[in-house]
Amino acid sequence: MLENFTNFRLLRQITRQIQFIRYKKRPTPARKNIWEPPAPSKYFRISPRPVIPVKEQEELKHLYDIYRTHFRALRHFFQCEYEKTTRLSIAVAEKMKEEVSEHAYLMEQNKLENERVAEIRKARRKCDMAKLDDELSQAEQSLSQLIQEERKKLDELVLKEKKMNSTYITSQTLETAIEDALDNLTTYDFAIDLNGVIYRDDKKESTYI
Amino acid sequence: MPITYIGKTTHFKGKTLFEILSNLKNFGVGRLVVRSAFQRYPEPTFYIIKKVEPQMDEENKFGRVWVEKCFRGKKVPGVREVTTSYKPDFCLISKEDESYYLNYELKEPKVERILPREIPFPPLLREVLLREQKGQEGVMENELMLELHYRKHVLTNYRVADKGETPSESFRYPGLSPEFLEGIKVNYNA
Repeated sequence: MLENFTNFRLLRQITRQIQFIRYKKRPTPARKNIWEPPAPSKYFRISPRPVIPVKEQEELKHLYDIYRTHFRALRHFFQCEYEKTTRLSIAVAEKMKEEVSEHAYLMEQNKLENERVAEIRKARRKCDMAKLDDELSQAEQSLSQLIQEERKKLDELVLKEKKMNSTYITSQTLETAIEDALDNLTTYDFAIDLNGVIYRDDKKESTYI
Repeated sequence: MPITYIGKTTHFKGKTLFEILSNLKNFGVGRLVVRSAFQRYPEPTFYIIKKVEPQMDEENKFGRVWVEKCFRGKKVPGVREVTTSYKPDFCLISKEDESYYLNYELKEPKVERILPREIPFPPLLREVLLREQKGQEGVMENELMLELHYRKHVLTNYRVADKGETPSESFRYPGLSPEFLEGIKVNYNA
């Protein structure tokens, strides 16, 4: 039988055919289950509201009030008793004591560790500060050097410009410069090829390369 | 033709709260409604509508309503949500009658009920506790009493008795009418 169950298709076929009986036959007196519809003969029957005498109802209500009040008190009492056993029992108190002493020990250890680490940190910071001072002085030196170099370069530039000054055209030398230009006329009406050869009036003139 | 009701009888009388409010301007904010269940009291019990959030369902049956409550002529502080708005038990108060409800003043303050502070333990539990405490010192048998706890509410006309005060109410059996105990022997000392 079990071997057959490994065949799932067969298993599915079998399970489809099974009808499970989940409830036994109704006991006598017969009572219908909640999901069954009412019997056809009882479709339009309306059950009358139960009539309870006023005095009896009041009495029942009063008794129920007493019952609830008493049970609330009892529940509270048992709750308190339970809390006493859990929170204030000797075992719990001992455990609490142990925990407190362990906590104190751990705090002491923590303090020692903090002190140790603080000393290490102090030494490291001292070292770091010395390093930082060194770096700063080095940076200052390199900066002053850089400034000096820049100044030198600028001075050189000024000297060069002063030398060039002699070739400039001023108001005094303007007349002579014009005359010089008129004497030596240059024409820019020429073509140039990729090799830098200048052509003037379709004639090869010269090369720059 | 007179109306004939079919089916089980009900204690409710009126409409659901949203049946009333959805017909009113601004969902009836500021109007008064009463629940017919509370009309059995001589003092007025009513709700003043303060805020309405309809759920916009097909039957207009559900939603949230916040009201100011007045129970038996005493105003409940604060704005509270109505949890019973689906019950077909509400009636609208016409604007002419509103002044009676709003201007009602309690003529005489109600007599304060003083509830007992403690009661004797149930017999078996009492016996168990006595056996447990037999060896311990400083425990009196008479002091073995069960402390009572009452529900707390804003509007109450009762308080727990102080120590040594005689309560006005008692929880001892028989209750209200002794006629139910005819022919029955009760041991009151138990």
